[in-house]
Amino acid sequence: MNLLACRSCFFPCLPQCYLPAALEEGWAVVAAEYRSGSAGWHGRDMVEDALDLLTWVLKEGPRKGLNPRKVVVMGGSAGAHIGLLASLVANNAAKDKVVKGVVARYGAIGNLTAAYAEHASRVPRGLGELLSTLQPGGSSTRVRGWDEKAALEHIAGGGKSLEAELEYLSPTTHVGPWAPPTVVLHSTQDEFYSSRHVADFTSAMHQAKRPLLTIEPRLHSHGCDIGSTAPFQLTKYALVGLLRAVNAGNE
Amino acid sequence: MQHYYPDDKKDRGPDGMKGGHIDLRLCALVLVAGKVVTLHLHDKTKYRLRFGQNSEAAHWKNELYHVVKGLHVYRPTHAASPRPSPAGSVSNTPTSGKRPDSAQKNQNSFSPMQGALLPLGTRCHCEIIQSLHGLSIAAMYLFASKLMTSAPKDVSDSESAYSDSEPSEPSEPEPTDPAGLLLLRVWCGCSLFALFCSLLAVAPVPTLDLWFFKIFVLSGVLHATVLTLVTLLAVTTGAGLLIAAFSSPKSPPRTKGVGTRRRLGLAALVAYVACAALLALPALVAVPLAVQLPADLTSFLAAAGLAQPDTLAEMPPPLDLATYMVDPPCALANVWEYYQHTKEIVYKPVPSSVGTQGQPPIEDWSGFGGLTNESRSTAGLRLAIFGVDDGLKKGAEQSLKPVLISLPGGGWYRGSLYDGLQVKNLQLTDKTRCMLLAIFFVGYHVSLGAT
Repeated sequence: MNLLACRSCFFPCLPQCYLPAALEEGWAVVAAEYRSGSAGWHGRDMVEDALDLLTWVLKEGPRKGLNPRKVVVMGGSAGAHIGLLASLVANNAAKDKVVKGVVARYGAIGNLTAAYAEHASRVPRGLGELLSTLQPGGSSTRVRGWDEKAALEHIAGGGKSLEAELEYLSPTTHVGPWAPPTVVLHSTQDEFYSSRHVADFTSAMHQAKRPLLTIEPRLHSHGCDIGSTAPFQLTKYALVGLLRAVNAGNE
Repeated sequence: MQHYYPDDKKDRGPDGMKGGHIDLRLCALVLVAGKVVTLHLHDKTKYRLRFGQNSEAAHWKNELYHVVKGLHVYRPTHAASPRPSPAGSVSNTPTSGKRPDSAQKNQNSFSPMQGALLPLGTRCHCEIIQSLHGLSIAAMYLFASKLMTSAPKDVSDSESAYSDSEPSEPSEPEPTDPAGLLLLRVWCGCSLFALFCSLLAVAPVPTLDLWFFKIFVLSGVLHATVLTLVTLLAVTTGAGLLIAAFSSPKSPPRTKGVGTRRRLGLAALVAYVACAALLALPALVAVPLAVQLPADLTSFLAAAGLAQPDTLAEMPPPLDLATYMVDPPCALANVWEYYQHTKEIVYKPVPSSVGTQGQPPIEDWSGFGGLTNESRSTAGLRLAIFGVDDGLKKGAEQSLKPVLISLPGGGWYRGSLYDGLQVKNLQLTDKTRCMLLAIFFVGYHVSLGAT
């Protein structure tokens, strides 16, 4: 059933999200949940869930009408990080392009070890940051209630080997010859993950000679591809192009 | 925060704490009837707590409601600290939740509530913004209402202040400009409607059975309302400013005060145009990216070995400024369709000690994205499939569709099933747009004063 065939409805069909864009291209869309940090899980648990999700699509997908040979992964924020990481791990493990493409939107896709070191040694800048350090639980990197340093510690599992976990959770660690073609959306003013994530990932993909398309709009914040914003429209354009190209492929 | 409360269904010991315990995170609804407080859990289990007096029952109903409500909302410190269990707790939870002792031992606990309440928890920060937005609109509405009721008086006062006539002469109420009054009423109506939708969006939902209604409001009404109203208010304000700037006063004849107000109106018009430019600025600076994107995408696909001759032939331009400015909302019927035809499948049993171990996976649920039967979230991690025909359930041969896997954001601290697709565009009511609303209001205020 075509989900967009709501001709009988009163309202015009003017969807502003990625779902109808993919459906219009004849793609099925699988949205999945994973264990979340609010329940105490860590990054490796989330990646494990994403890998299990990929495994499910590959094995059970045909019974549900899904083509396991044409899989593209998309995610936003933590979903971008987890989805990209799982895609890299899956392709490396299979030594194949299991995932044909990735669209990573404003996620922590860089070298998390370096990002953590940067935040750990960061000196408060400005009165606002200085005051924030004086508050209980305050941090010099707290922005809009977000503390990347604390988040990195959290997903790394706290008491475990922080360095080893951060290295595993860094997508740049897993970039290799099987890295899928990746579209990255990341605002230059992203207040959660700095643009160094894009620079790190770009460098890794460049060294591995893997295709990468970066969209770095200005004057936008984290989660910027909402509504009809420019990041949304640009990312949708790239997504549709990627979907069409993958769908037209022979594999 | 206390998570476990004595289960009244179990026999209590002399210390009163040897009974079973109810995991309040599983509680979906708290009701009071006389001396009995009833807790409705997601797995349709009910627990009745009897009290000695009606007032006592009402008091505890409120207490429990606030506890349950607090547990439903995302809290950063919620998962970080071990969940306390009352001293002497020995029995398990009669529901599908995890045991209190395991909760105390293992912080890595996947709460079934997590699945059931994902939409609320995920967008909690947005709902805070929503509430601020609602408050700002409420304030503007109050201002506008006061303005509408006092406008004639203010105008006459200002006239008397500006005029050089004798102060002892009583001034008659100046007839209100009907066009301006109509615009003001439209403005107030729009503000009131936006306020209503915003308050609905942030209103607590004690029972998850109402979740479809809430999502209906959030993803459909609110999106449409806010964005459409922003446009409508802008147009209204602009019209009011134009009237203020170019309408010639009927009486009294041209005075010094009217000239001042005319200049004020023109200044407000300039401010309005500046606001519109500010609204468009983020998109305007993205124009170079949009111009470059087709070539970049072609090169990217070529490097990936995916380029096809006609792949990008029929694609629309990457950036449409008109769409950006108007920002057409997702149609409500589309949202309905999304959820109505979603297939939910458990792709992974609940990990570790959480949930109902051994319970067979529940497959092929149809409905509103897990909103009608929350107990399924205890079965495991879910995926939702969009865009696959129902005929596959009957084993019919159909061509397999390529699949786009979407993972939602917020998973480091939160997680949701549908957010990755941006179906719920809640952040549209961000502070920038609220500020613009406020600026529009100020502009209209100035223009009204000018008329």
